[in-house]
Amino acid sequence: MLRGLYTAAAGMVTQQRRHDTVTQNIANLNTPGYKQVDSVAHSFPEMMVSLVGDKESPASRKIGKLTTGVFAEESLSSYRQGDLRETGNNTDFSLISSLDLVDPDTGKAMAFDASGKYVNANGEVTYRPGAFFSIMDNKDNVRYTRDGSFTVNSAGELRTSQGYRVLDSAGNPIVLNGSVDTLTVDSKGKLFEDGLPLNIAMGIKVVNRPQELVREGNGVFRAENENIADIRDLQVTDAAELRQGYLESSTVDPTQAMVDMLAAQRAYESNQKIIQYYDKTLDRAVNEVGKV
Amino acid sequence: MNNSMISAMVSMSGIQQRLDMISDNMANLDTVGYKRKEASFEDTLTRVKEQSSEFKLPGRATPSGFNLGFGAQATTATLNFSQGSIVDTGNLTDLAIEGNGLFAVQAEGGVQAYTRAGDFQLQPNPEDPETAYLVTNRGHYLLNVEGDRIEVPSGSKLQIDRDGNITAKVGNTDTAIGTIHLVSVQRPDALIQKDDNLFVLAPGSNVDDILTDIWGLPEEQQVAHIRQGALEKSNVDLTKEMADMVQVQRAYQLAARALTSSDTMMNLANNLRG
Repeated sequence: MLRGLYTAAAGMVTQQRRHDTVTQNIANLNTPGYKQVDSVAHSFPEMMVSLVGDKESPASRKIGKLTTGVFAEESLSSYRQGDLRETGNNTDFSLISSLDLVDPDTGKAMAFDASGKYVNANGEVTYRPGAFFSIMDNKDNVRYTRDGSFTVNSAGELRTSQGYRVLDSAGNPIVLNGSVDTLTVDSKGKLFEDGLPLNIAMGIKVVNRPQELVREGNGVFRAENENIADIRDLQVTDAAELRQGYLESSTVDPTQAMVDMLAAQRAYESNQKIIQYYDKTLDRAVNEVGKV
Repeated sequence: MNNSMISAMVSMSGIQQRLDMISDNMANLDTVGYKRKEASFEDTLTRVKEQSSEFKLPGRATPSGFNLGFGAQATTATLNFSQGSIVDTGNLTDLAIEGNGLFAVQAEGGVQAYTRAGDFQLQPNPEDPETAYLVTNRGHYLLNVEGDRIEVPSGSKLQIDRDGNITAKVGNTDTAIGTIHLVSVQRPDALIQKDDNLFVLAPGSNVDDILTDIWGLPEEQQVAHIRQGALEKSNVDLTKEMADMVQVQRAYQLAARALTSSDTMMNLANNLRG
């Protein structure tokens, strides 16, 4: 069978995944704290193509390497800082972080690019650490989110808009006693009521390897392995702060999304055309070769 | 069905809900004491397409699995309790609240409800023509601190001070009639907005957790006061709503575009055999 037929089919599936990812970004254009996702495609492992049945040379002659397809390998979230939008709501919070890492080779701070990526001389990629709110879902699992549109329910519990409990720095759900109007939170997450400290702080965590987080939906991320993701508490010296009365906008760029969508659709179409050409070739081979 | 189509469809219905909310706010631009609503969004539950360990190739950044979402949905509607502007009307039964407060009223069927709308009227008592009740413009009874309807002598001139004390003046005699019940909201998210400009408590919640009786507090902690002869306007800002609407409409268009695009792709797949 013609190898390229399956390559083109794999291409169609991959472009479909890419299109799905872009649609998901477009859908979350107005979701607070949403981080844009990019799908990364990877070619199939290379294989060696050899000539068989060649009587002249004893060993089969090697033609070269060939990859026979492509697949959508991963959906990579970019944890870039979103723009802040003022809401004036006392229970809306946003995180601003520009955390640095020191490159062990040079001893200097890594120069992250706009997408939060740093590639060293050996081609190793490091992602910029991110600050997250720690929350607890309905099954008491700790989750992380950038969406700070919280509400206070009738029992005084601080909850996300999805109803998950917001945790303090000790890992306990935050419960408020007084009026929401008197709640203030400083830039490091310490809570005050009527100007008096409550001696609790928001559980802001720094995730040193944010790409290890798995998107769970509902605006939350989960760490498959807390140690690999390297999660720690926010320190006073960290370049991250909290703003009360603001929400972080989605990082989706509509222009980019539109372009990606068109590109995915056209690439899908190209692959479809290739399949049709293979079909025509097969048609010739089956119906016209040997016709009298 | 194609994943893109589902995402586009789910998000379009979410955006539609947001548009409904914006139009609700705009429609109540001139409703006395109206508080604007805002919708919050979340991405929906995502599906992880499992990948075998063979997919763990060098250079891969994320853990195994390919993450796919199904669009975004509207989650909570938050009420914005910011103060609306106060306009003088000169009408003695018009009351405006300055600060964080709500009037307690008795709605149909004796249901306890709360409102910011202070355009009250006098409704004659059908059983006693000598007296009248203070009611909202929808006929709900305003309540006093004892939780009773406020009954005033017909033809009297009402004087209501900033602490809600009502004095009725008939001729030259002043009669104290009681005090208007005013509560402050501790947790606005636990209130539910109803029709007729009313707020009720979320089911299963405790009144004391959500509301505090203002007059029971020391003077310096009283967060709201009443102004007679004035009305509080809606806190809807038309400019902001219009800006939101433009944004919502464009997001809808973009989602619709994604739907068309996925449709084209399905068509391409269908026409593989020409």
